[in-house]
Amino acid sequence: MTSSRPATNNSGELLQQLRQSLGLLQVAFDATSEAMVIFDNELRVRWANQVAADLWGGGMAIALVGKSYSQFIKLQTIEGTPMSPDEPGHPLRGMRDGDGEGRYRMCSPEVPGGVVSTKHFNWKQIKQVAEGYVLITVRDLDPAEKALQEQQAFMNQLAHELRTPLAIVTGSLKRIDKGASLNGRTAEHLDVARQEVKRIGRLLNNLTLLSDLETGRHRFEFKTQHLHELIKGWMNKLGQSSQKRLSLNLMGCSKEAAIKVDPEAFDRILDNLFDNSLRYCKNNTPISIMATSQAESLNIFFMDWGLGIPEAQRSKIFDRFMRLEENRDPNQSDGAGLGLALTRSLVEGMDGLIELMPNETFDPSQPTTVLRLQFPCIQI
Amino acid sequence: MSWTPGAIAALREKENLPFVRADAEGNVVEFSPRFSEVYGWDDGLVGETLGKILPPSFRELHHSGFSRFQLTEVSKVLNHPLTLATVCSDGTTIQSEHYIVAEKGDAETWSFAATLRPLEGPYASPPQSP
Repeated sequence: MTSSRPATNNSGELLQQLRQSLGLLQVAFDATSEAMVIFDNELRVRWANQVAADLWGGGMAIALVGKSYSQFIKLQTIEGTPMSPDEPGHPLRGMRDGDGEGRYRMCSPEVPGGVVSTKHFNWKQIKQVAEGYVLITVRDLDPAEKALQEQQAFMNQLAHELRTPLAIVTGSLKRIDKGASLNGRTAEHLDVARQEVKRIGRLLNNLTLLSDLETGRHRFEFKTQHLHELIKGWMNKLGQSSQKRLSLNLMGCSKEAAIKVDPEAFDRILDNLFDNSLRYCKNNTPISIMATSQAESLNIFFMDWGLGIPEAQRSKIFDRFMRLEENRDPNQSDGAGLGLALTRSLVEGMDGLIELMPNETFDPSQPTTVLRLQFPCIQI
Repeated sequence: MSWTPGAIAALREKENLPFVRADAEGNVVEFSPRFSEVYGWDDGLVGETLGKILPPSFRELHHSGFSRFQLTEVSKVLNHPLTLATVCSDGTTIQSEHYIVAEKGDAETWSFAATLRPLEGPYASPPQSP
């Protein structure tokens, strides 16, 4: 035997249960240590939890509803430069394009110029909602992030302190070179000193950039460009002898295929890979770039026919200060072992990925090095 | 605790401000003639959710905040002025200063009431000083 209740009673109970669930969810969201705000497709607040209300709404979440982001969130870069919502790197600009995160100095809405503290921002598109909402969460830096910030500050200070004596040494070496006729052995020593000073300068620049990339301080200047233009533009900047060394194959890449990158950083990636190949390849071996495009992504294969990378070291090539001493071409200047670490950080900072492909990917008869770069493809 | 006995009666007498009262479920049970005059609602509003007099974008937080209060009996919107857009019967909105109170009745059930001071339009009056 079955029994039934009137539908109205069931509806009432269901409504009561839903209310209880909703209340419980709100209690849970209010109990988190992160500020959470949902923005609608016009980037106006639709929902906020209690931490967000305490931070920006005088304790009342409903007071935030309908406000635009720029009415209550004022940000500075980690270095303290005020950010406009339209500039690259600002969460508001970033959330138009997809998910992301970053660290910013957050200003107090009540105190003009007053900085509350450095916060970690995360923005995520809520794709399940057709209207196109975005969830922003804001939290204090955790101890590891704070330590990283302190390390970064130390690194910048150290780089600054070292650049001044380095400039003095460089100037002195130039003056010695100009001021006296040097015998062969002294000139040789001087040349070594000059090369080493240059190397230290490069090392400092790379370390600073790497540190900036890893702590989210580096600001990319993104542009959308056709891949053909980017690669050919980079090649045109090379000297003739370098151009002769390179072979380019873009046949598998549509001329319409574009990527969104910082052109300067993109050039630097190719520079690093090319320098690396030169360092580990003999003069007559080719270096090749091949690109392919698919609907969603673009692949750039950077290949050389040097001695390849020993199996035991393949998993470490993107580590800092990693150098393959046994394979190095002694005629090429020494690197600091930061090139590939820096390259990976630059690629990943531009939403791409880089990986070392198996040696036999393209030419099973020879040990080759094949690095694959992949970026999201954009149609323009 | 965020309520005092007699708060609703005191609010009802406050000047000649529009007044609205809701039951523990958040459904409108009564409103003053002044409320009807300013916002245009008639008796059809009785029994409807309070969310109806708030713009759609405010409803999620209204409902979640209301449900939260039923669990915790704590709210930050009570007993002080709060500026919110209020929806009129014709769909237009008037920025209004809401002063919301809550009161527990004899049967341990909650009642909620608010005065609404219109801050714009023909019935506008200056906001209450803090």
